[in-house]
Amino acid sequence: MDNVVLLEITTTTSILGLIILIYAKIMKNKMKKFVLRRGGIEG
Amino acid sequence: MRKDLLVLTITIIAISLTVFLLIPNALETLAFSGQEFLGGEVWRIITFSFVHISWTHLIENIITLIVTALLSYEFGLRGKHFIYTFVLSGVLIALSQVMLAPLIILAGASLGIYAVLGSISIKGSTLISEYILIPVLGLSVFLKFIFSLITYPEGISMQLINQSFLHFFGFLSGIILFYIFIKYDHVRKTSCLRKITT
Repeated sequence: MDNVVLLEITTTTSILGLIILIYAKIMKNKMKKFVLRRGGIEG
Repeated sequence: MRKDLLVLTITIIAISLTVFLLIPNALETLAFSGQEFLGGEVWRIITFSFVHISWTHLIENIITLIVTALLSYEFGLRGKHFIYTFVLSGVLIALSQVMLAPLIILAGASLGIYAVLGSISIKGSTLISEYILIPVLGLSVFLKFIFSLITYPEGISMQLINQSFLHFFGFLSGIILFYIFIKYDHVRKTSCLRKITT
């Protein structure tokens, strides 16, 4: 068992991923609102 | 979530659960070892990603896989890129282990997960700057090592160092594979357009 490298991920990485996910969602909504306010994408 | 990403994530989870519950000696038969691989057990290069040795190991990887799939959806990473990155990074790094450390045994899905996170760190730059995304996601590779260094430095083992470096190479391979896929898609699209116009 000494030479076994367990490829495991800590819970902190998942939490970090979730924070980025929420931030990305907020940014996406902001972009959508911005586009809608300007009357949609031209062309 | 996009259907292809959902199907792929569920498939990976289902295979990992099946291997964990139904194959009790999976570590001996399916985990990657350079020595066994050179001895003819070539399936190990693919199967090691689905081998987990404890419930903690399995659940932690499954939770991160789900978060990674959600991030892939949010940043628009395509399903085929997701699965190619997951599988190919494992194959590439396992092959490097054949030459560098043939006695080390690899088990777990995190190499593939970190590779997908590497791809996301580039793909996600349309929403979040890559100057934030790459360091934040890249730093997560060494979180366990940094945490051990602060709290209990005597407890840092060679396994932990190996694990951190393997995860880092997984992350790096994800970035490189992403650029290769983009280049390949571009070449294919250009040749298709040329065929249509001629």
